[in-house]
Amino acid sequence: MKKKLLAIGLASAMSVAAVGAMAGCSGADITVSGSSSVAPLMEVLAAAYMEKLAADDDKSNDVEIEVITSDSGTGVSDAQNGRNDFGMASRDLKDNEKGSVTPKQIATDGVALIVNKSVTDVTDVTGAQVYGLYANGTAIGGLSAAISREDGSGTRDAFDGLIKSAEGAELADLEKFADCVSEETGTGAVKTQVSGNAAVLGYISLGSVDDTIKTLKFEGVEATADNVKSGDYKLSRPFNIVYTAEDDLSDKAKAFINFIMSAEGQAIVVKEGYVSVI
Amino acid sequence: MLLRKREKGQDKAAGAGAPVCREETGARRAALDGEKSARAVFFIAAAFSVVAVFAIVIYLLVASIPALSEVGFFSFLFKSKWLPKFYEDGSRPASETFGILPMILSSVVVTLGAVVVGGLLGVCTAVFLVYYCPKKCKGAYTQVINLLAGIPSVVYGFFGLVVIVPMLEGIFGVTVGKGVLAAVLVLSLMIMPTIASLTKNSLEAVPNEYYEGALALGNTKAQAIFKVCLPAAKRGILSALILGVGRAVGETMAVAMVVGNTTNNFPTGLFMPVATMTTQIVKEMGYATGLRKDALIAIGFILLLFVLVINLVLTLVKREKMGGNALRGRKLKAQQEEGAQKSKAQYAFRRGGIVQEILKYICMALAAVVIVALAAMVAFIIVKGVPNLTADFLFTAGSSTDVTMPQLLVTTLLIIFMTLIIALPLGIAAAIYLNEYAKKGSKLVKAIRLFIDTLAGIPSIVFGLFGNIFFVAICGGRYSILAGSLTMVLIVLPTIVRSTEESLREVADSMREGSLALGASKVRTIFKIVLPSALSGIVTSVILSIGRIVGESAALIYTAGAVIGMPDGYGSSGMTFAVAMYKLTQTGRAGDMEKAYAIAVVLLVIVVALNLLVAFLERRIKRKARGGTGGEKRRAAAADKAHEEAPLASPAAAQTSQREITV
Repeated sequence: MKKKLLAIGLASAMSVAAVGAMAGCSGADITVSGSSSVAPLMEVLAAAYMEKLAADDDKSNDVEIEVITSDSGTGVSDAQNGRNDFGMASRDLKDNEKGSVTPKQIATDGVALIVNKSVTDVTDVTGAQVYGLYANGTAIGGLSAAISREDGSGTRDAFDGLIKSAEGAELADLEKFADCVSEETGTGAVKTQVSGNAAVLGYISLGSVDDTIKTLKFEGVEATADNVKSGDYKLSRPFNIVYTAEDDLSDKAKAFINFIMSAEGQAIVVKEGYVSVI
Repeated sequence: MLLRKREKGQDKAAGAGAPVCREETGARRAALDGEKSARAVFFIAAAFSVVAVFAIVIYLLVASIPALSEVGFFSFLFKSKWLPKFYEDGSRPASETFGILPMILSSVVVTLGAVVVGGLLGVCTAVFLVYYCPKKCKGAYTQVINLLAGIPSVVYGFFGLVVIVPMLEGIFGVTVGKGVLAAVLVLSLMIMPTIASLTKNSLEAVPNEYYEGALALGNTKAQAIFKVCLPAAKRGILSALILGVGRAVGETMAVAMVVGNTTNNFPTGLFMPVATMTTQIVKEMGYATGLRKDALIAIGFILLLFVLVINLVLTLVKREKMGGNALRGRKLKAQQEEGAQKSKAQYAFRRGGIVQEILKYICMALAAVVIVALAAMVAFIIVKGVPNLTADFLFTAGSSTDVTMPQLLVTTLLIIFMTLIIALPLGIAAAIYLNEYAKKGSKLVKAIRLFIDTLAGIPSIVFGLFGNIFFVAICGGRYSILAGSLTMVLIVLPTIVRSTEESLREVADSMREGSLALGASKVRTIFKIVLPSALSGIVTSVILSIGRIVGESAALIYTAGAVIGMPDGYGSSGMTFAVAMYKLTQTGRAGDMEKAYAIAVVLLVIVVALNLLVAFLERRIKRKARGGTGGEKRRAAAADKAHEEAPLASPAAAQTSQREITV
């Protein structure tokens, strides 16, 4: 009786495990890992590339790309240790990382400050003003409340690192926002809030700006792709991929990078709301 | 063991008495073996719920140990700063950066607020429904309440986002209406139908004599209701409120849409944006790795402990109700009589009961508010959503960047199919064991039932976490529809067990006895006689499960994932209707909000359709029970039971309505 019970238990456990294992755990041809800010873009690029290669009848050149989300530091160290084909970092390399890996910029991420279309008294803000609103609740004209993204979001990561007080303190160093700051977990939610409320300041990725809201100038510079590219608009950061050396890349990985840098790949970058590098 | 000995003895006797029949004896032994293994299989299925509860508790505990030991249990619970980024860049120790006190307090405040407001609305609605509602509208009103209990929580959240928040901004003149109050209101609306429906059951279970007696003693109707009937149903109402607490504390998506979500804020004001335990999990889980992920799981574990305690309290309240109510009722009546006599003597010339009269009008007003608010919600969604049900959205296949209906439908159907394929046999087998094999009222059965109820009470975000660290991990760390389905199995299992068990109980014993007397084995009797008679109950459980799966979001977002596009199969990730609705309100590309409205309409239509189906089936079951063989006996038994249970605020009734809520 006991044996039978055990056997049945085992069998059911095994069938559950087998069903689980069926869920497809195949190895990929190209593994990319790193920054959670770059990963969403990389996933779209990878999907487009795989689709492109799978579209022809030739099955031999099809690839499987796996994008693993972690953070920039992990992306770089994975690349150093050969745990991926290349890593992703949403920042410039740090000094201690520079020797061992090579960065290649694939896109630029610009952050736009957005307000309701009816706002006319504020058109241009400084970093210190924005810092004051988020950190202390100091209103900028009629803007008395603000929206942040959730901790972990790439846009927030960029924003918090780029907004500094007059004394040079970053938003990123803050323990707690002012009470007037609420958090939203998506670009859309931020836009909805701003488009329905004339007293709220928010920020979104530059590429997601549309006519439901309007952008503010930052330190006198208009938020446009050209100004981001030229470096005049300061609320921006690079999206890099990193690898030890170009020669160490596999042919498949090289071909994928070429695709990213091609006009076709950069068109996707723009479509996803980032600024292209060509 | 005893059983087996007796069987052996019988065999021996048979063998000695009639050696000719040896072959037959062998066959019988084989049949007996079959019986035994069947029994074992049913038992394992029944024990599965126990295993599942333990697995969830132990897995979450083990997964949270790294965080709890690194941070320190008390630092984790009582420090007020959640700043993982400072831990991750190495500038501060874990004990300074993983405090969840603000989230715990926010959860408590929002939950209590919701139970006070939602409880008031629910109880008043129930009083109105039972005592004041004209007979003609009573059925319709009850149906509406049941229907509202079935609306997925994302729809409530969405309504909060697009209506309640702007309304609060308008009324109170605040800049941003999100925060504690908005969350309380959304949760109140959400748990109100559950509380109303359970309160209604326990009010209806109060013996009529109480009411009549009170009237005969010269009380007004309002006095009879508020001073006699309502106190008599106190326990039932209390368990309804506790159930409401359980639901409110575990709700995730609806709260996340309206609560403001700012980490580290204490709930010090009505419009303070705060993050509750559940919303913190859903907010950061997508990004978290390492210790931060462990810490989020630890939040889930703390939440689970909360809910287990709430469940325990609920069980205790219910048990006490069983024991003491008859006596309490009598005592109450005596007290009431005494009081009435006194008041009669004292206020011989006053009609009295002014307070109760006021209460009566408050009840009517609140019942009206409820129905108006909820009708407004449904109407609003339909008016805003129907124009967005474009052919393009409904019928084009969409792509990896474009959400359309077919991909959501396919994902939802895939999950429904896989979940039911696994959960249905498991649930039915468990119900068979509990009803056909186990000794009625034995400790084992009670224990298993307790675990099934516990499983039913676990919030879906906790299932989501468990699915994430168990099923997703098995599948190589990728979100997949399969992992989502396996998680859903755990969620719908209690519904299936309970619903099937109930319909098995309805099958008359004479049918079983007849079958056995004709020489059929027990297994054969179960499969050929009992199950077919209980079919409509099983079908009901399937419908209820489908409803649950369609409306689920928190358990699926980190198991099946939220990838846009047509899924390839069970290995790929995909979005169901409810998950897509939540995601669309967050991503906000052009047209996303419109799509969310459209999906809300689709969800409402599905809920209405499923509810009507259940109502139809239940009516059919009733009719069959009245007409079919053995109906007489069953009716008599039912009457007996009703009589027996009447003073106990009918646990059977409570069970039915619990089923309704889980839709």
